[in-house]
Amino acid sequence: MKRRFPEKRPSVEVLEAELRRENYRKRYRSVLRNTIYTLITVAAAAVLIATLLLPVLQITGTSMAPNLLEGDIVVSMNGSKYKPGDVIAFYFDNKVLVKRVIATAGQWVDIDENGTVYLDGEVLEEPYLQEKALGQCNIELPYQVPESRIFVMGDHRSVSLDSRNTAVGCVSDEQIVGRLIFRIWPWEGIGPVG
Amino acid sequence: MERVRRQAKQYLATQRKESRWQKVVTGLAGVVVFCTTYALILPAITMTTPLQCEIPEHVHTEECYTVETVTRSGEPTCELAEAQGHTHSESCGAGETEELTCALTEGEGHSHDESCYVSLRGELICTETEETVEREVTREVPREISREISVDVERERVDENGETVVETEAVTELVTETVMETVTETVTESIPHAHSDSCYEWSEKLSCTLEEREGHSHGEACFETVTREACTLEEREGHSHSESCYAEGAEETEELRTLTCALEEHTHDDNCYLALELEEKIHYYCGFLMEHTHVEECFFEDGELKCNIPEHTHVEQCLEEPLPEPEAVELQESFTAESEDGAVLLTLRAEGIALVPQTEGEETGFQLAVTQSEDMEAYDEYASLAAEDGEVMMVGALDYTLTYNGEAVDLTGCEVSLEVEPTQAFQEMLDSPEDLGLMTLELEGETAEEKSEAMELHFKAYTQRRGTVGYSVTQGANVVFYVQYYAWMDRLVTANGSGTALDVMDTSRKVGGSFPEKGATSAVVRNIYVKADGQVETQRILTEIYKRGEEGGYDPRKGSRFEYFDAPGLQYFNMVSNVQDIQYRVHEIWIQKGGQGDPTSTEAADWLVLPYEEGVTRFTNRPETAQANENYILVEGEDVIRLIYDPQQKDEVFPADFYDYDISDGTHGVGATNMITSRDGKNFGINGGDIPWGKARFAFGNANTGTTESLKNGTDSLGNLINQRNASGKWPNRVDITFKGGAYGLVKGMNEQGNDVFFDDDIVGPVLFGGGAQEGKTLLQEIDGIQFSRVGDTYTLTQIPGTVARELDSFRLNSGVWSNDFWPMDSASTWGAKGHDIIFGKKDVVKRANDGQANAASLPYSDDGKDHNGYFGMNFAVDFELTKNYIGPLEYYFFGDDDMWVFLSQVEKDGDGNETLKGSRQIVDIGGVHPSAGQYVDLWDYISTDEWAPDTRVTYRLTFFYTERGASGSTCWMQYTLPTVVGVDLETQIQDLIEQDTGTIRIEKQMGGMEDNTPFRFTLGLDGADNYEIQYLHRDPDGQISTSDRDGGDAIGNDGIFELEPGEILVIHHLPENTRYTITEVGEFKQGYRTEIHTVVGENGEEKVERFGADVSAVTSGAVTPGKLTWVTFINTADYELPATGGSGTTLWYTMGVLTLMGAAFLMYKKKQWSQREGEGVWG
Repeated sequence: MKRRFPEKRPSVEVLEAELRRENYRKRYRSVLRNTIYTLITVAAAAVLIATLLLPVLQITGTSMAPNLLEGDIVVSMNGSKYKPGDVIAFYFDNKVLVKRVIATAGQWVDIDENGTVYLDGEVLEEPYLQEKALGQCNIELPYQVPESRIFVMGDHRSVSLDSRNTAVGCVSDEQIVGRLIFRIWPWEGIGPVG
Repeated sequence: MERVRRQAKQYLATQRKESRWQKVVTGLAGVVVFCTTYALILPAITMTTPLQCEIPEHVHTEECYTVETVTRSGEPTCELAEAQGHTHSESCGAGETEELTCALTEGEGHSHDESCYVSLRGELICTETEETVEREVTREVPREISREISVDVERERVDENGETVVETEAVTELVTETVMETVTETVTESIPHAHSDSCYEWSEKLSCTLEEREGHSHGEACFETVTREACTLEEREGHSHSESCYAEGAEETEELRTLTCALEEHTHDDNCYLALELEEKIHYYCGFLMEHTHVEECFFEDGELKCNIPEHTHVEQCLEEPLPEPEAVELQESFTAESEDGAVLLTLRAEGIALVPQTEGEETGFQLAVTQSEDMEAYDEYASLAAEDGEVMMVGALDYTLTYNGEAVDLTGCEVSLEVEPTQAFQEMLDSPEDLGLMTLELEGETAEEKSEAMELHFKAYTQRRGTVGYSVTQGANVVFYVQYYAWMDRLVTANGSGTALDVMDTSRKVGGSFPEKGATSAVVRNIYVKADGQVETQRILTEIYKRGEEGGYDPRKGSRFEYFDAPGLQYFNMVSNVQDIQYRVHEIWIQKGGQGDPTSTEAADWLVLPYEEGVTRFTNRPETAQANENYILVEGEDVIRLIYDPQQKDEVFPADFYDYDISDGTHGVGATNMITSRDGKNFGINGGDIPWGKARFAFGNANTGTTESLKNGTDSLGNLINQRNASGKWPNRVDITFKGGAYGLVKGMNEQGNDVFFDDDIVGPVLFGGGAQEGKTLLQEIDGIQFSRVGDTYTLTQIPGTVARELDSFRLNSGVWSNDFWPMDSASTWGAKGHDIIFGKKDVVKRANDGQANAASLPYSDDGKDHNGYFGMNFAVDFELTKNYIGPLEYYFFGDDDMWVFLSQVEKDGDGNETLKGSRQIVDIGGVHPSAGQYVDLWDYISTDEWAPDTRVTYRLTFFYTERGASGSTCWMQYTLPTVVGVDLETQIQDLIEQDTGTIRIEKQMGGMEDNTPFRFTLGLDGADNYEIQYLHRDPDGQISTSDRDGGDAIGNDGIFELEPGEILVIHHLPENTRYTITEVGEFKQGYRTEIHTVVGENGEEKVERFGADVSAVTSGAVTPGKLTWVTFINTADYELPATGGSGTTLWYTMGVLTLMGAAFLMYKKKQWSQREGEGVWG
């Protein structure tokens, strides 16, 4: 079979220009692909970190005032050991709640009429409080925290609904999301959560 | 050079480009991280109590104001000094009036009083004028004054000389001047009057919306205060200069801030939040924090409920404090009280666990409260029907309750007995019948002296249900008569039978037999006979089974002595209680009138034989009654009444433990034909362990089982032929000279628990039974019972439930040997399984056991030519209670192989119901691998009731240990006759109150933290009490107690169904010992509730908790423990589980993240591949 050639062959310059254009297109695609892959990977890593390791929470409500205010965004960290004074997030009733650990399993909690908390018979120092109040308490005091449970209270004692009330009760270990460690919003409040 | 420079330039440009791009990508990555994280932010709620304030929180900020700059000019011209201004006060006319605010009209039940009104201040009615005072004030006033002054004025003039001359001239001028003059003025000022409350007209208004009625009176809180503004002055802070205050020419700049925010400044305080705990501190005991009714927001769009708050509306019951849990107290006391009229004395004795209510009332302790019963009519009727001892002259009924501090004590866990006695006062009334309005009877035609029986008044008491006792006075003849208790018993033919005789060693003393001690060589033999059909040959023998055990209560010839007033009917002198199960029923009544005839005769011809029909046949001491009614049997003095019982048949299943023993190392595969039983002189499985020199090894198998030489032939000083079938050998006096080659004395005792044996000091052996773990021994879980056919009090082994071991009460002829094919292990899960011995025994199918080398032995064929699972053990025990009343047979027969050891023990219980076995001794010993052999034991040789008190009850236990060691054949036929009924002592107890020493189950239903009165359905299984009608007690949530009808109609039994609402309790009494209960909460009635079952046996028992999901039936089972209360509590809670992640959950995110990472990795891998291919394309 006889091959047919175009009547006019392209010049070398044309071929070189075509080659440059082709190389550029290839390079462009490569860079674009790399960028997209990188961004996808970064997004996936962010998803995993933000769900598994460091869940990010936005505070709603005032029961942790003045330490955590409405709209604050905090980072929590998964853990297993919690001690009185820690601020934790936990699942309750299909929602994530934030409260402060007051007592752990086996400890006795007592609260007097003024809202002073006694832990195993000794007054619990609570420098993070602005005011003390007995609040919405319908449990029988003194109260011993059951096995694998944590007794939590909000910092705004007068209005907080927490373990003092049977509607919430103590928090079981498997409910806990993590300990709040750092506030990232608002700017003026950036710092550790205490 | 130029080229290098160009390349460097190009390289640098590329580097910059890449650097820029990296920054861009980094920035993009940051944006992605931010967006991703932001998207994943979870709302974290701090949760406060619900807000009831409708005002939004707002604090004015700078943004809320507009600022206007104003420039003023001029000096202030205002004469007023800036001063404190005017502030509204009450004196400004902000008046108050009182108006009636009560919405109710006055009428019946409500009269307005002060509290119905609020104070509303009205028009000023004060007539006082405001006072004025005059005072002098001094002030300086400017004044113009005019005065004349003299002034020298120089004037110039031209004289004649034409020269200017200055001349001085004095001139007077009027001058006006302004001077400040001090003026004193008198000023009149008004003294302010502060209007007080009295200055106003007052009216009242009721603010309370509650209707005044009982329970509510309007108080101060019902009123509101209304304040009205009447002042027309504008309230301001003071005076501020305005433009008019300034004069022109001066300038001043001022910023004016005007609030433009429409919001009210407000910050939530505590009052803005809904107080979940009501201010009145009302405590609801229902467990619900708040009332809630589902509204539209509580549902998803598809109608599914999304609200987690249960619906609840508080009702009055929510406010009622539940009664505190009663305290379980062990009682062992008697309580006495007289009836209100002092005529009757009641003595109640309670022994067991009582539930004592916790009260805060007056401490009165335990008291027996006795009141006149309102159930008099029923007792009147009952007394008339039961008047078998004469004519009813008087009837009374009393209710009695044991109380603690005034509250009723729950005695369901106690054994209760009640004595009812007439007091002296009542006796005095009876001595004078006329005082009771009774007539003295005179029999027609006879004088008092001629009367054979004196007519007497008789007091008696009875009860139909716990809590009420009736009593009556009857009049009749109190005759003395005798009762004998005989039963037709199927006794084994032991001599001159028609079937094939089987040899049984007779150890009874009556025939000179004895327990075969170690080394015994002689035996007394009796026979049992097997008929052609394989059944053992029996004969019906009329056998005396009971007597009245009291001193003087029994005449060996005539029988048990009774007086008619004490025993006017069969239920009073029937020794065989029908409260428990029925072993015997009265079939006939034989009578010898007036003591005529031989009362010991068992020939019916010597007696007047009358049929007995339950509920129809009755006894009477009144001839006229007997003559008028053929169903009445006249009881006269010295009559001898023989009750003829027919035994009743029933199957009984008792718990038993079965052990499968293995003699191999278990390494062979399933279906193998060889197994290794020893290697290098060491045996495996149950035969493992060292054999000290001088000891014999108790082992399984025989010469054909490949075990070591030491077990085959006996190489030690004693010889080990205890393990060799039909062998002759050395074990003390074994084998040729002992009965059937038995090896006696292999065991020397039983442990305290009764679940294992101790070997003789010359024997070493494995832990055969329940005493501990042992290599080569498997306790079977699936085979746990042994079934007997009970006829009367005679129990014959019939089958091992759930196995092929059936028809064990009959024999088959296997290879010339009578056997009942006792192979229960053929149904065991271990038979032929991996790790256990191989299956062998089938005729002509060679299976071998070897020592792991070349020495293999053929395992024996079985006598019926079939494969069987040999080498097993069985351990079980039965208790029987004996009283002085029982005089029937106490015997045990065994026929079989190989080892059968039986121990007799006395069971003692402490206050907590803990059992201790005392005086255990072996009464049956058939040891060794031997052909089937029998042994008979008469337990009366070991038990004597002669010295017992009439009310003595002793529980004995027979503990059985059986092994099958030879594998070539297995027989286990046994029969024992033991009383399981409890004798009746008329002198001390009222029949209906007799409590058997049985177990009790208390089933309670609870709802965890929520209110739901829906009844839950349960089924009750009672294995071992299948045919029982069980009495029960029911307590509703209000504490009302009702009991089942003892006569059966309302009782519950096996496979019974009952329903319990939360708070209800069902107590089931009289469960025979060894009964296994199974309580099932039927799943379809649970309505989505999870279930926890808490079980506690006895007061100090350990709590067992079982948990079940919402969609399954909750089941618990256990054995009834005699003398103990088993508490079973079903607690239901809503099937609510916290979500694993909350909200939509993070699982989706996890999955997406992982998938994305994997996708990215895959794409990068593919890219690398493409790159490589392209490289190859260029370079390859």
